[in-house]
Amino acid sequence: MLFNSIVFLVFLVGFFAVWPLVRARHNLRWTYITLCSFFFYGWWNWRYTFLLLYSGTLDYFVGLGIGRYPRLKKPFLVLSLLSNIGILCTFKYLGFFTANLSAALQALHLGRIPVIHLVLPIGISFYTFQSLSYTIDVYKGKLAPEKNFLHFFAFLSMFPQLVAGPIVRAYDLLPQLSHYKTTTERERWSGFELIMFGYFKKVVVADNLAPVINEAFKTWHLHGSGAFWWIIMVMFSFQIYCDFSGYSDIARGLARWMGYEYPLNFDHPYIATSIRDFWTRWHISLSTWFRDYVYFPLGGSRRGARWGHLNMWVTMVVSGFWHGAAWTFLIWGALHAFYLSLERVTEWPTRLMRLPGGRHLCIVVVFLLALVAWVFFRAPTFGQAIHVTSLMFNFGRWDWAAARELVWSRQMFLVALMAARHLYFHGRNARAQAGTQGAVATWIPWALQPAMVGLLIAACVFFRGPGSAFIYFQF
Amino acid sequence: MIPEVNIPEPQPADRAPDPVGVPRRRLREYLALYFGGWRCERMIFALILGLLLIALMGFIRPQDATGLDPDYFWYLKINWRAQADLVLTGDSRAYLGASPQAMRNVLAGRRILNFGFDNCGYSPEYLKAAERVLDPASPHRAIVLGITPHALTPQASQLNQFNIMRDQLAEYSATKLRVKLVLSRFFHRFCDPFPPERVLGMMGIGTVTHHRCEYFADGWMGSVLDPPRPRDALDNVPSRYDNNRISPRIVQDLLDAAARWSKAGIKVYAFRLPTNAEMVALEDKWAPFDERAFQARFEAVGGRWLAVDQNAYATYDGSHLYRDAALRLSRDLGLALAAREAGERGPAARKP
Repeated sequence: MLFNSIVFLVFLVGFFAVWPLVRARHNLRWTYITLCSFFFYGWWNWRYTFLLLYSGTLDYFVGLGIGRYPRLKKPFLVLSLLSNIGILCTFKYLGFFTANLSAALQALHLGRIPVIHLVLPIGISFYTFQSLSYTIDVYKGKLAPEKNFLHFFAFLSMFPQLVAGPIVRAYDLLPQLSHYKTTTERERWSGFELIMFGYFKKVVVADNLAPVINEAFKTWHLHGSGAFWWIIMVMFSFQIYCDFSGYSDIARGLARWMGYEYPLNFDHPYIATSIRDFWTRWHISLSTWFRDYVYFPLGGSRRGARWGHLNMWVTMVVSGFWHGAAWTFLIWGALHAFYLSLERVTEWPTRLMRLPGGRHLCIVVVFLLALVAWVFFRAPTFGQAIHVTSLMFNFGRWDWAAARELVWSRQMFLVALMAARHLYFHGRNARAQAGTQGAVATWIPWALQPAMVGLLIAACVFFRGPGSAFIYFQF
Repeated sequence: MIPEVNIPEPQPADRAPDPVGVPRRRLREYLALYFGGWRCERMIFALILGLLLIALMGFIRPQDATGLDPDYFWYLKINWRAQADLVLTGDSRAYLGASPQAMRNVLAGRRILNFGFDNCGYSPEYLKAAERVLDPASPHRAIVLGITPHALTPQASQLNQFNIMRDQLAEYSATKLRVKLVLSRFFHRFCDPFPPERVLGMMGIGTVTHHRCEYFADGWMGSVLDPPRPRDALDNVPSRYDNNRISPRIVQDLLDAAARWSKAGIKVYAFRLPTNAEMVALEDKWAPFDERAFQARFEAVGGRWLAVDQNAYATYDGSHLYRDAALRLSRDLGLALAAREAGERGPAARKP
């Protein structure tokens, strides 16, 4: 079920109509959350609910096994890792591996093997990671194994975050789910603000930007102007931000309505003053997951600078690969690793900050670096990404005429709107404001806040772009 | 001695204690979630305000689209199979420019459908789909190719609205479509997207432009731009053909299809879709398009070229025909086809 569909709105009304009646009793609450979440997930294809059921059941019993037989905790963990990563590899990466293997065999004149294409179950990368975090935390002794099957499944399958995150940790959500609380007006309001602003980001900003960007990449060989591609990439950077953070906002708002709190997933990433800062603001739940479960277990930077770089490269490349089974995603991850290495070695953000206006310069440089990396994220093939990048840096072909139409378009106005919102938070304690409050600026007088959100509702209805699925569903 | 008093923990005013086992309290709590403290429930204010804005906008917005529901219009087109004697093909100039009904007034008894799509390029899959619209059992099978230089470019083949609509509407089941049609009949003015430029225009900022369209079940969309913007399309011609010249391969594919159809007994006609005279000159220069050469090649593979006066029909944006002009063109096209058929049947057939 898509958040931006009528079916989901009907589902939501039904869910919250019954929720106050069931939330007080533990087993009833967990059963209700689990059943509704499975219904939500199964609406797309009911067969894949068995995958979710399998992954969750296995990790539930692995958790119990680790608790009961501590001496066997390593084999239990390996079982969970193999199972979850195996599912991910089968559905997500088998096509990639077989295609590349076949190409390699062909290059060596050794024949070829059939390329296997399986349908990628929506949200598989998210719930397998969420489930894995549970078993790893139980293994490390950070978390007691959950004994109640329903409680565990309510955590794993909770519909707001099930298909596109944020990846909520077990130690964060399981204790929350063991209680219930009635929501205050303030919580309901901030949840509502988040939901409406999330919808605005998705259906107005991202969906209006999508056709222009899709068209540009579909007919990429026809556009020879560097200026054109810079503008397109600026648009894409805001499309992907609004698409994904919009989803996270809606998820956080829905959870808040239920009386639970999800962690902040995006914190105005385009005002980051360094690439390191960017990764503390972009898809925070994923980057902290990789930090805690890949980078730190590899040794982090404890064994010296060189090992630190190597571990960081491994983490970033794996993170790139998590986003999609294609070389372009690997390169996107590697490019960010390169940026981070460069930053560690040269400490350019610190040096630049010392200059007058250095903070602003840092923001611009980081944004431009992220923009170049986004080319590899968006382009469907490596060749196309290289072509676009080379045009962007070919200042001899800086034909403004081709870009002028884009600059004065409605889409660019939306980009400017979102950029202005970023700038508003520049220099403020954005995390505190965005994390604990709603999404609409808090300086707006109390009485005017409903007017602002009322406008957002009307904008979502009338100014929405052509509907499409959330980009991160494919991951 | 001060007696020991059990002072209860203070509860936040709006956070109710656990209501398990207290049905009355639970009911109150249930109602409180939605209605409790409504005087300060900003969510309800925002919802009411949002709905009021939607209602207001719905009532004052100009209703420019009439006739069939647009989605249903495209759904019908995409799903036409074996139901026409004559099918018209081409890009937006075709589906805005040729009314099958007006042609039927001349070619009585023919089942004619307009299979034109926006940005439509003559890709092989589009040509196959057009062929499928023809009834194989019909004795008058004919395909009329509306030619524009843009329809022969790679960009048009890639951005073809035919592909987009086919993929989008493939998800529509008959039930889903029926529900959508019922809902849209009542709610379309409150739900259909409305570009911000038009809202600004209604507020007196900028010019309000109405693109009035009427959707017909035979695939034609009659349209008028009010006020007209005669240079709109003309100014974009150079950028449209920048790195996007006519593809010899697409032309060859089209000619191959025409040859195949001719061999299969399908009459293949083509004509250059009329537009503004300045547009014709610009397209000839930028695309570049040599109409005479194309005509010669088309006739060599068995096609029949229809000469259409490029200056006889008025456009509203420098490219597309006014509704009235489209009706005239359709009638003229019908007459030209009838004359051509009569000529091919021999002098006897031309006698009344």
